Amino acid sequence: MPRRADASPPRAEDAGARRPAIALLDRVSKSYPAGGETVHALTDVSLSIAPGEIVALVGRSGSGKTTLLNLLGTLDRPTSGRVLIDGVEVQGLTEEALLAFRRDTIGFVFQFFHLFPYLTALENAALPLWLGGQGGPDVTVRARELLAAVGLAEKADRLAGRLSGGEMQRVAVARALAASPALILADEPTGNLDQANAGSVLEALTQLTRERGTALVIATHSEAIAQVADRRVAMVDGRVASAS
Amino acid sequence: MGRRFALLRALGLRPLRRHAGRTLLTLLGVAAGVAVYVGIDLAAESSIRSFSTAARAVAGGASLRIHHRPLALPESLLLRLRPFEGKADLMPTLEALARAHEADGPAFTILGVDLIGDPRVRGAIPWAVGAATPAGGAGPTAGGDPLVAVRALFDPGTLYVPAPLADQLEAGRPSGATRSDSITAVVGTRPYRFRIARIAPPPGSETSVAAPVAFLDLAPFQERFGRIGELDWIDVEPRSGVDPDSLRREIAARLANDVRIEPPEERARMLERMLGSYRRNLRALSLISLVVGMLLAYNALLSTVLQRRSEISLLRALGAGRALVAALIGVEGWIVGLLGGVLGVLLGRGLAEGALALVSRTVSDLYARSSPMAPRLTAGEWALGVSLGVASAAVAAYGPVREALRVRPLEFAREEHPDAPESDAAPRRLLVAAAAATLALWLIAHPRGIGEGVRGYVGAAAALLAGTLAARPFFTAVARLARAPLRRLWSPAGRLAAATAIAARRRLSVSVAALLLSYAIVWGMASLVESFRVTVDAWAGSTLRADLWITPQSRAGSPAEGTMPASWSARLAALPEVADVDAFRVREIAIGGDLCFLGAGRSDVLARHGFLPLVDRRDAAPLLRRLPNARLALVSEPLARRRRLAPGMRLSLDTPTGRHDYGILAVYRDYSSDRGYVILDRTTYRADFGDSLVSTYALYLKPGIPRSAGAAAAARAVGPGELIRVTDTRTIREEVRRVMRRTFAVTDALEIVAAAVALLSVLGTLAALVLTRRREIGALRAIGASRLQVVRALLLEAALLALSGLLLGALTGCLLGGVLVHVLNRESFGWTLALAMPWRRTAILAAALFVAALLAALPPARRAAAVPPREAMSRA
Repeated sequence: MPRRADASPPRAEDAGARRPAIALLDRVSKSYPAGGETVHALTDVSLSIAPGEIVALVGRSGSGKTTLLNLLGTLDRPTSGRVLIDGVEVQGLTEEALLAFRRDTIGFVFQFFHLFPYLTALENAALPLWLGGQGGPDVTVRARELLAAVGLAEKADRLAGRLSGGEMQRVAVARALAASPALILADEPTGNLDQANAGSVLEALTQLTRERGTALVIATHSEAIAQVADRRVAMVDGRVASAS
Repeated sequence: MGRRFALLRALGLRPLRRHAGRTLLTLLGVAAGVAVYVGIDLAAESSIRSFSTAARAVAGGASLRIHHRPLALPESLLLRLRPFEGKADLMPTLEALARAHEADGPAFTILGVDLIGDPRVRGAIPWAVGAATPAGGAGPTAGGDPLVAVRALFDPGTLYVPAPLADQLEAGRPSGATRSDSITAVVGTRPYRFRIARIAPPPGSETSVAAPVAFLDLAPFQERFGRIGELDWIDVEPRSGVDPDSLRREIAARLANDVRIEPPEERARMLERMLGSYRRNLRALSLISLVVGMLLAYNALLSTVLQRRSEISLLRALGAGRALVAALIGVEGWIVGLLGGVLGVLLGRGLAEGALALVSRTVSDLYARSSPMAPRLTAGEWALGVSLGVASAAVAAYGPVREALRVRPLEFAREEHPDAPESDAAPRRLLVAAAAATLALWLIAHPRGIGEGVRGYVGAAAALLAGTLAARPFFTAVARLARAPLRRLWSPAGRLAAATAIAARRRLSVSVAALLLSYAIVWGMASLVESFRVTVDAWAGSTLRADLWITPQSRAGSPAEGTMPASWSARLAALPEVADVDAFRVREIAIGGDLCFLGAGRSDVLARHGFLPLVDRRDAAPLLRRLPNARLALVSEPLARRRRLAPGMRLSLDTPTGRHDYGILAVYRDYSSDRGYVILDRTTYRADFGDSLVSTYALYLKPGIPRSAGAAAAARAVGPGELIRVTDTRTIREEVRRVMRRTFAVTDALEIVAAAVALLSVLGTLAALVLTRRREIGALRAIGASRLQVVRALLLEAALLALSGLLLGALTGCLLGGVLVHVLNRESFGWTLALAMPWRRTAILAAALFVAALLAALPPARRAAAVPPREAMSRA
């Protein structure tokens, strides 16, 4: 069972730190070697995200958004500092424990959808539940509900590879919500869509996370997306430049 | 031009180094196919070439040979040819086939020639060698008495042995035997003791290798082997300025009608023609490995295209034309084909060494004594191997190049997936597959005789094409059928595996095809072997009914080698243990350019005790009773098919008493030789051929007499000085089986290569799939798939692939087996075989291949499990 740590008092610059944090980064740095040099992707970043809060991570390419997202998603480990998700200090977890923890706690929406084109929309949406060992009609019912929630009830049995880009990303939203995670991380979720589709995906994403009280972190270049967020965290050269 | 080359080098060649593993796999695929083809062809060629090389080496520079084979020439013929002495060297020769030391010692030939006058050996015989250096030492003894030296040449106890053969004979001594200057040569049933005089190899350096030949002078030869007044042939070497053709015509005019004058290699050429079918059979089987290698190359090149899709897409967007894209992929195929061809030839040369012993043993078993020479890589073999490599790579590159040409500019920007659900032309494929299968079935149902040439190839190709084309629809059907049970049993890995398999069916079906082809090849070849085994076992069981068989110890292969006197017949028949004796004579004869056997036995004995299976299933006994004292004959099935003979037709044979016609009474089944037999009754044979010698005695013992007692009594009856081999029927049957196993030993090697290449293909396909799905697997891991789940999904996919390949391979194998047994075998050898399926062997192999396919899938599966989840986050 993952060990819950006592959450450190939020730092002053974390605006949303009045409520208990679902995700907390405490003086986190991340560096890695590249071409004989050390690249400092993140330096001394502290950030707290409250349950149900929508945070927009903005910044130029290479500013550290994706690295931050990887750390929040437990896909990577920090070089220093602490990462707590849902009260659990994730660095201490074994890979197997981390896997289960991630499956139950975090949902992902990727820029390039990463749906399995040979599975149906329903199967894609149900996948996290199946991977977690759940099965039977309950899973199907839940996946159908989620697909209906993103407006794809009629396309549930269509192969993902035959859906349009906007539809694929909506299936990805349904998949991210399938395991009822406390946190959803979205990496440029509309970066590969036209304006109309981008709008509908963003609407689905924000509406469903708000309804469910799920925290949402969106890495984006888009000011429009940033404006629908509760908070805007700007990244510059691996540091949090501002939070509003 | 230079700019284009630089572009090709940068974009076409650099990726080869970047994907060294896959490049190597492609190279190995092409090389393996070429190596098997070249190796087996080289071995067959070396073995077969030994006949004409030996004939040429023995004949020296002689361009003509006068002979009356299988009969001897009278020595007096030399007198009739005296008028030609000014125009040509006449070289009378006698021949004895011998074995050194003992029954199973090295086989060699003793030639009786004029040691002083024969230009072929004159330079090799040192004048005083016999007197001064009986063994070991070569070269003349300076200052020796010339008379002593000349006398030594005529010493019937001295055998002149070229040094390499002397070394071989020394090496072939039985273990424990002391090194000696003497040797026992078994000729027919008699041992002859000789002192060995080493000589330099006669001119024509290949002589002692290609033709293990030792020399005696003519007169001592005739004296020791009881051939006074006889010659086996006279070689004729025209003097310079004499036209061989006109000389041939002039000599022919002076010869009796049935004495021939022809090139010395004529018999060898006939043998080589006969061996053509054996070689064709081997070629057909080894060509199949080329196809499997080609599939491996196809698979690897397709992986290249799929992996470089984004690059190709970008290049297209930057203005690269379709020709450049085709050249980029084509150059990889071309280079791999070229290098694979070169590597294949080199590997094939090594493989030929191993295959040579097997092939030449088979050639000796089935056709005639063969002393194979070292495989020789000629410019022709190099050209063939490299061309095969390039051609197979070109064929393999066709599909991937087409795939590359379908890539659209900037498609990567839209994140189009190479494994996106594919629409395929299943009905069209199935239709063509059904047509190919129907063609193969039609050929099986309508087999023709020998010499049709290509029907076997066409049938085998049709069977394999049917399987290959059906691979994708079949695999898709299996994956769809397996979806429900996989979901139930191993969800979610099973669900993913089934869905992925269906989605990637196009790529996976290449491996399915490789696996099915190799399994079908193994199945087909095993059916052929099994059909042979079952048919020949049944045939030997029903026809070999004598209790004991007596043959000369010197016989090394052909049933025509070595004879025994007819006088033994009465002695053996008088034994109280013996109920009946058949004296069977076998000689080599030529019928219309085909070298076959003439057999003569006591048909009354065969009718009483034996069984002769006739092709038309009639009872043979009444026919056998009509044979004595009549010009009637039976012919074996291979000969009947080759010469298109049938009951009621007449067959003309040259005999010492003139040319006679023999009415064909029946065609009988015979699996002892594909050269074919004409069978006469012994009475007719003796009258027409004036020959009473016996090749084999068959003894029928009285009831209750143990075979060991019969064998001892037979040995006593022929006398202690006679070196005979008494074999019981069980041993003969075992020998038949041994010969068969040796004959098909080459197929074992082919099976292993085919299976190995197929497994490489499985490994290559799955590895490439993992590479192209990295981000997808990363996403799967990010949303919660464990390493075990990823490994399990990949393994299940491999299991589906293997299962489909093996199931369809079994069906294709049945079809191929039918073609090999009923079409190719019949076309090549003329035998009718009962089709038998090798259930046990193929079941074991299927299990082994299934496990091996899973093992081959493990490394890619582990690689997939190691894909970090953050891979999904990386931007394209």
